[in-house]
Amino acid sequence: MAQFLECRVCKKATDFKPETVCPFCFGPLEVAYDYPAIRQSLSRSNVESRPTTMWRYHELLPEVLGGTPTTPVGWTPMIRAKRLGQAIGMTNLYIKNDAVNFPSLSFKDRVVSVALAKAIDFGFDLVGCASTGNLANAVGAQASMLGLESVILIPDDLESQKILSAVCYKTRVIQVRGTYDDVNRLCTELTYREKIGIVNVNLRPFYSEGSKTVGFEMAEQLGWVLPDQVVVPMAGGSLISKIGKAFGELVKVDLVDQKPVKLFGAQASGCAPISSMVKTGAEELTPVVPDTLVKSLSIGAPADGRRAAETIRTSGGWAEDVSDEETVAAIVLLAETEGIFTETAGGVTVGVTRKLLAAGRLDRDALTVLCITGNGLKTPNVVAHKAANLPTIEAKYSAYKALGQPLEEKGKEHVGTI
Amino acid sequence: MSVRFEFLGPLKAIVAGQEAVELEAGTVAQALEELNKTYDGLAQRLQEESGSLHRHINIYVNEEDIRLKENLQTTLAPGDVVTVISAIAGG
Repeated sequence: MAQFLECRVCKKATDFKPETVCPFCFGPLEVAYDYPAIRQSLSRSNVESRPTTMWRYHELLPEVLGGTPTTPVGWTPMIRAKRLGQAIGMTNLYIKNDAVNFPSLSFKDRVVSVALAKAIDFGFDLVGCASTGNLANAVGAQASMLGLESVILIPDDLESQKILSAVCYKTRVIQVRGTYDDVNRLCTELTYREKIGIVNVNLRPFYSEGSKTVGFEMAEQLGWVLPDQVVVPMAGGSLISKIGKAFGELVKVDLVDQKPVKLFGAQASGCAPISSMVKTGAEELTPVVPDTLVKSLSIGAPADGRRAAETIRTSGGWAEDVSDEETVAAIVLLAETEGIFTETAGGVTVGVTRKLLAAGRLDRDALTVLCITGNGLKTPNVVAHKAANLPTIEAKYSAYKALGQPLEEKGKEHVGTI
Repeated sequence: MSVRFEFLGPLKAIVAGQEAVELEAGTVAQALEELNKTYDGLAQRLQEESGSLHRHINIYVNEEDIRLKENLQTTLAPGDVVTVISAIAGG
């Protein structure tokens, strides 16, 4: 299949290679596909007959010379979120739950699956990443699975819980003094000085294509229909842009009918460069120094920030940000109503959804999907206060009875019917 | 003592494939103006028409992003290392 890298600015073509920058104008490179050919060969029944992994859409992903990977990444649950909907006042709400993605419990498993397949194609024995935590685990896990050496660079203020699993993989974890953006700069330099495939630097054009599979799955799981509204957390700004691209591609290859989809971006107020850009109408992104407990979204100079803002504006959506307190409250709300325990980025998504509803930006009755991108077991510290002062009783029925009914303690405001 | 400008990866093409260029300048803007005299088209490839830094380019003075300092007006002192790097990474 004819695929190549195309510059998003000057549109010049380049062969597949481990490079993220156009050699002509230094614009960002992106994988280009032959959509008319894909439209001829790909059908819904084709896709449906394949294994339930993100690679069931392989024609719309970078071609892998070694063959389409069989790792069961993706195809995460799409949940009809009735109880959360009732709690916040939405009637047609769904959750795309990447908190249970394989193998490392975040949406980053998708992008890494593509990046490492291409790393092997390009002959890299050593791979790595700059990470806010989730990517560290995804690279560590899949590099171990594929027998690749790996090195993971993280800011030194990352939640220790996130790293505990990463250090168990066959990988070298290095803490860097500074912010994610400092780590990122170092990683960019590494790609030009060492033989290393950094998934979100020189493998980035391939890596970021993996994010599209969130959008592909969303549409297929809704019965080959696009949603009306999607709320997406934003760190580097790539996921929301690629979900927009995914919907456009599904239309181009005739797998779904065209339909306007409003995309809404969610950030933490302590690191909201993209949300600020959308809200102020600014043309350029102003970097910030992150100051939030939402480490997984702490990218102060997001590479796809401007593209994310453009995607949101073009779609007719909006962006918003929430405080750390609102984030933690939203993590608890999602757990209480849907039994889904998400990390801080998920709290931001749910918190921002409430805020957008209150502001009248979201349609309460439209088919809406919230992207939950990571698992709460990675950031349990932010809800540790919930475990303080738990009742402790003697092993006697009278002691249990004396506590009263469980729901009296929690309140009944989130309880609805099935 | 002069300022050292490093261009990484494909950006080396701007300065005829060199890893680094030494020069004297008081601010990043002055340095770019000076470099533009020797390397034709340098300003055009690093800056927008308005003169602001191109959004796909990051410049660091001693490893600090100039957008978090005084942008192109960030002052330079002898011995400073200025790194010019692609902004398309991460996330």
